[in-house]
Amino acid sequence: MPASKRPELVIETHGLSKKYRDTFAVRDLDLTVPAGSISAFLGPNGSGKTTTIRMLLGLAHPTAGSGCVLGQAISDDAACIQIRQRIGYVSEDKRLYGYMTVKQALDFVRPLYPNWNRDRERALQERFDLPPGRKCKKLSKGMRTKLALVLALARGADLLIFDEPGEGRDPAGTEQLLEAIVEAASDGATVFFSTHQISEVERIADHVFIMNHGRLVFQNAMEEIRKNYRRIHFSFMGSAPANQMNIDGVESLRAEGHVLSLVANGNLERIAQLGRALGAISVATSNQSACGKCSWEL
Amino acid sequence: MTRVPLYDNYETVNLAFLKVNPASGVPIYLQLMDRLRHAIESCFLAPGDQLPGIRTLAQQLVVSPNTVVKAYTELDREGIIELRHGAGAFVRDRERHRDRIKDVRAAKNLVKAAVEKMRGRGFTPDEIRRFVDAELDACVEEARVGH
Amino acid sequence: MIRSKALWRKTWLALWRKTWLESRTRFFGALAMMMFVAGWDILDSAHGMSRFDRTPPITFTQYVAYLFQGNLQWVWVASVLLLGLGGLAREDRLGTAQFTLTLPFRRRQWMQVRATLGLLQAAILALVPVLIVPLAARVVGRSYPVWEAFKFSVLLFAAGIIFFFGAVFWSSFLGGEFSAIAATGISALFAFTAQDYLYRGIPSFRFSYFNMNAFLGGYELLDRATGLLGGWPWAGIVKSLCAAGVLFWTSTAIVERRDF
Repeated sequence: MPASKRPELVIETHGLSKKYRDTFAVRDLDLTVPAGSISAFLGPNGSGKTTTIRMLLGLAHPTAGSGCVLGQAISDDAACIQIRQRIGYVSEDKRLYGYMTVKQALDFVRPLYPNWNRDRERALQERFDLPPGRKCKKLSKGMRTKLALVLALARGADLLIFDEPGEGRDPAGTEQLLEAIVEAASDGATVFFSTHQISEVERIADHVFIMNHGRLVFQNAMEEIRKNYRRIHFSFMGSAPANQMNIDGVESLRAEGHVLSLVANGNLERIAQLGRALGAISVATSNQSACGKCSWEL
Repeated sequence: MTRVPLYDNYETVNLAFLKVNPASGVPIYLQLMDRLRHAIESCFLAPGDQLPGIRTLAQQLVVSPNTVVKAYTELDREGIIELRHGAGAFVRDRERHRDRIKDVRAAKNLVKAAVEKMRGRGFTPDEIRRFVDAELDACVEEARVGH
Repeated sequence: MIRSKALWRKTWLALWRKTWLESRTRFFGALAMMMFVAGWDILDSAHGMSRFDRTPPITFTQYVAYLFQGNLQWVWVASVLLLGLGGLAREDRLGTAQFTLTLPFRRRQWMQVRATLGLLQAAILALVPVLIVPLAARVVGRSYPVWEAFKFSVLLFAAGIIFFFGAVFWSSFLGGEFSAIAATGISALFAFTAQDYLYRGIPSFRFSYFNMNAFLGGYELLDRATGLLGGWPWAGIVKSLCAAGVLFWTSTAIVERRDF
């Protein structure tokens, strides 16, 4: 497998697929994640996000297609080590060896990474207040996440991959997590995190990738989404004429009885005009929650 | 893969006035630019003052560093601040560059008026953009052919 | 691979450290078991020997040979099965496999360290009787040659590692806590029964080459009169090592292909 010819891409896949028996968990994925950015990987549960991440990390083997991470092909077992030395990963489960204490876990991981940042480790330890002598099996879920973050962020990694890092966290915890991500990005790391919590994404993501049913259904820069996407609601006297409303600029639409809701990317005036021409009695536009607009109904 | 050289700030500045609203429809970098412009115009930040480092600001506001970079770059282009390589971002001396700021503002108003007029005539944003591109291409062609 | 020597050394050390921490409890448990069984049976030899009713009466050496073919053999096999537990399939069940496999190691490196450490631990366990039996014999006023105990130990080790790698094989895809032991136990039982049946069924064919039970205890080479081993069953040892090698190679292949 040739290595990536475009070093400015830290993740690049071509037709990446994972098939189980008759169903595709991931299908024909063409992902391109640029360096030095914070990318969010959105999608409902079961859309293939975790499977994609597992393939990128060499945990699962693709059934078709290829991928490159940090310039190395993911199918190359020997190269996998070089990739992993520059990657920090926090899995959904964040589970660590029960028999190790927090200190032992850090001592175990530290010598494996030549770019390990001792100062960052100490700063994070202080901030997260992790008890060094406690066994990992006795840690609460919140503490486990914090430990996993320290282990990933102190590595001096070029690429950080988080799978559902915010799972079940309180708002203060989410804030800490976002701060940690921004800190890592400030150091020049590329961050790729998958989540289904849209609020996390809006704040810090530069790029958004949305998956559904194993396919990449949407990708764009965050600022473009914020600028261009609007949600429009129409109310009609009779039933909503969904078929006639599907014109240029409409990304997706949903009709429920009298109400027609759609997500539009441009051409807003014509859409509003069309709606009125077809008999809409009210039109409401909102630009709240940029990502909610896109991931909904895709 | 090279790492982007980032500026660093040594003082702690109270950045509460720069709080942005991620839920609004306005891109964050534009919001940031607005707030910074306002801070500079209202003399909260004086000419010669160093702006917060990209890293510091990103972490304080909890936004992507690229957003801060974009805001600073745009402001530099507008002539309001100056990005000094390796040193940081500084508020430009308004006396010296007042003209530049004026020119930029005038140019923006020109564009705004023209665009409004054309939209009033029924042209779509795409069509307007095409007109502008065609005009600019013509300028470049002229310059190339040689004057 | 571009790697500094120091980093290379550190990563292997880390692997060894982790594998040791994981197997520590099982190893010490097995050690205690071996020491106890060996020691107790010798200390209790007067009673044990009295249960044999034959003429001429059983000698101490013969009795020890009997032990090696009986209790000691079984406790050894049990210990070695215990050592073969763990591994990445187990980690998958526990939820830590994703962490382990994203560290900068190849999967086969994990397997190699696990196998090597396991063999070292098995060797130590196999040498326990060499230490305990002569000592315990001295305590009850008997004597037993260390060299003889050593011969039995070597036989136990060479023949028994096939059980270790059997457990490693089953645990390469079974993640339950003791599933690998159960699977190894059942497959071993199946193997014994099958060969036993065949042996009885076709008496002219010398199946004793494949008879693990007898092999482990050196049945073939035992001098009935003295209860001492006559030599080394080289053919059997080589076959056992080959089978162990095949099992290990297969286990590594399974682990490398598996999705986590």
